[in-house]
Amino acid sequence: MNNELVAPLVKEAIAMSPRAILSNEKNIRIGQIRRIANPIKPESSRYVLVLNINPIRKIATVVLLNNLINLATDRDYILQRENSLAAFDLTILADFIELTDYKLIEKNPVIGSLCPICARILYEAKRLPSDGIPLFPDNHSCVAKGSFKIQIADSTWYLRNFEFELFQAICEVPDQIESLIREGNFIQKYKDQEEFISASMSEFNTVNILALDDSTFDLLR
Amino acid sequence: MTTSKIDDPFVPPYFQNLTVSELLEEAESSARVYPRWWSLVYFTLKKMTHGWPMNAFRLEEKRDHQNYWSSEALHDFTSEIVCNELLKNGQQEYILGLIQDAARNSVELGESDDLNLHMGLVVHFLQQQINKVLDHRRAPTLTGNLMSRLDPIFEKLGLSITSDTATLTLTDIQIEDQVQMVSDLLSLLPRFPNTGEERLSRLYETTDLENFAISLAPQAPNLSLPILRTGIERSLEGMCGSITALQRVYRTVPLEPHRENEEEIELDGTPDSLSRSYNDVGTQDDQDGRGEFSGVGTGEDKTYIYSATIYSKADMAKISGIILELSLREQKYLVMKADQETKWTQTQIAEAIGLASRKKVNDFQENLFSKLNVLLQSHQVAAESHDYIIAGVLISLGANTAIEMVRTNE
Repeated sequence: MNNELVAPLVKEAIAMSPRAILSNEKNIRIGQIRRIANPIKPESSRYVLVLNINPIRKIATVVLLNNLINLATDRDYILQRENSLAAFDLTILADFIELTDYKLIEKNPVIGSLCPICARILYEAKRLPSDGIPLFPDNHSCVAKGSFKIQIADSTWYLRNFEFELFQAICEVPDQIESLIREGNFIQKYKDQEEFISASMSEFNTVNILALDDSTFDLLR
Repeated sequence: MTTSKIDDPFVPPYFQNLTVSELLEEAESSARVYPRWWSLVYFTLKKMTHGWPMNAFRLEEKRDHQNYWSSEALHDFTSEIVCNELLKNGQQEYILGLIQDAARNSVELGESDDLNLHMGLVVHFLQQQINKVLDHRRAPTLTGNLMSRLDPIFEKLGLSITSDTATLTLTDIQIEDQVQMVSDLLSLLPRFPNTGEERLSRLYETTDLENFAISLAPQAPNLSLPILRTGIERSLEGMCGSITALQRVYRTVPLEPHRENEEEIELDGTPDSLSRSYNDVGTQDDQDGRGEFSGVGTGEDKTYIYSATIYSKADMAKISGIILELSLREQKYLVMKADQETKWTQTQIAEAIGLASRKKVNDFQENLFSKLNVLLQSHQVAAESHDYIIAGVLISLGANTAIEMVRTNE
């Protein structure tokens, strides 16, 4: 490698490079972007956007984010860093919504945010049984629809399936963790709560619809 | 924190001693990415692109003595990935955030306090960025060009073609029929000469494409964009491809009837590394009517004429009959298994033939071999000629395999 050639390029890029703006706010609020980290899956952490919270039950509804904005399909939304104050652009994988416990996100810093109005609209739209399309107010351009044309069984297809499964696993309440056991079994704790059960079973259309097709190999790419 | 050797399949061998601690330390320093991040991207890119055609990424084919991309090309891409993606687009921050979480979780579980165990994740996320840049720089393809030319024609004719094959509720066989129908229709059109090198030059007259679209119209309810694209690709390239599959392009060469007056093709182009031979052609059924076909090798700039006039017409009928019964996926698998230049891993094979995981490859192979046995029996191939016929299948599929065909019909 040639130092003389590389150094000026890197120097210029560093000058334009953002650093993540972190807030260690403990309170979970709608619209915050945080990492979700599950101690029973130490190799996996992902960024999520908080869409709704239940402070009494300490449950949050989160939607999965990733950094591959070039692969955002027309079911996803792109959140530019100018609008989120994060250090990077993010894709909101709007079909990937899960309920999770405060424990898994509250320790992680806030790295950006989406305006609470848009977060709320996204949440409400996804609650509808008919998988409604969110109608953002005209004066809000916080997010933009993706345009990547996904094709059956291409690499993006598999990546989404993988991310979907991983996301579900990360959001699972880690009832076997010692610190949580001390407070009582989490799953048992919520099993009797009709609200939680109904929310987890029917409120959201948490289905990776793109994964349900089993067409043949011949349609690859 | 230890800096012991990292044993992780994700990590390129060049970086077995580079640690996440060092990367973190550098990211927090004023240098941010140099020299460790830069080198990690450079060598990861080098490893990923080994064997990929450079011209598919608008680069001149120029390689080093180990067949890796030239250092100029690698530097060019590394510069874009590091400066634009890692720094300007903040991807270094994204990666670091996730890695730090992974490390903290490890500590909470008491499994390890060694951040370096997560080096594989760093490389994994870097590979995503590398893929993004490579994909962006990928040269247009003949199929892509044609699709973009067909779009306005369909619009003009009011043809609406769904983007989702799943909504058509077609069986696999019906989908295959539709793909073949598209391919056949396109193959009927007069075509300008183009080897694929001139990727932006047109292949068909617009009026011909309009006729093509009109002839597709009755079938529009049973067509989807993926079916259309696959059919076009099959007509143009013979096989669909992905960024991974760019390593090799397989071309299906149809068997052609023997022309009696044609001069015999010499075997000068036969590969040197010959390891097997088939002399026992006397067992074949039809010794009088000889057939001919040639296999096009899969190398970038070489064409092998594998064989001429060794298979009888009856044998060729059996070979083509067997090939017709094989799906594209099965054909591709056979070609990969026969490839004597590249050792394909189970994972690569699974990806290339569209299986969900490498664990399914063995089942797939078992089913395929059973199917081949049934096909050989149904075509009444004598047991001692099984290898001979299968070799013909492989050659006609364009497999890059070192099989010597000895002419005995002198």
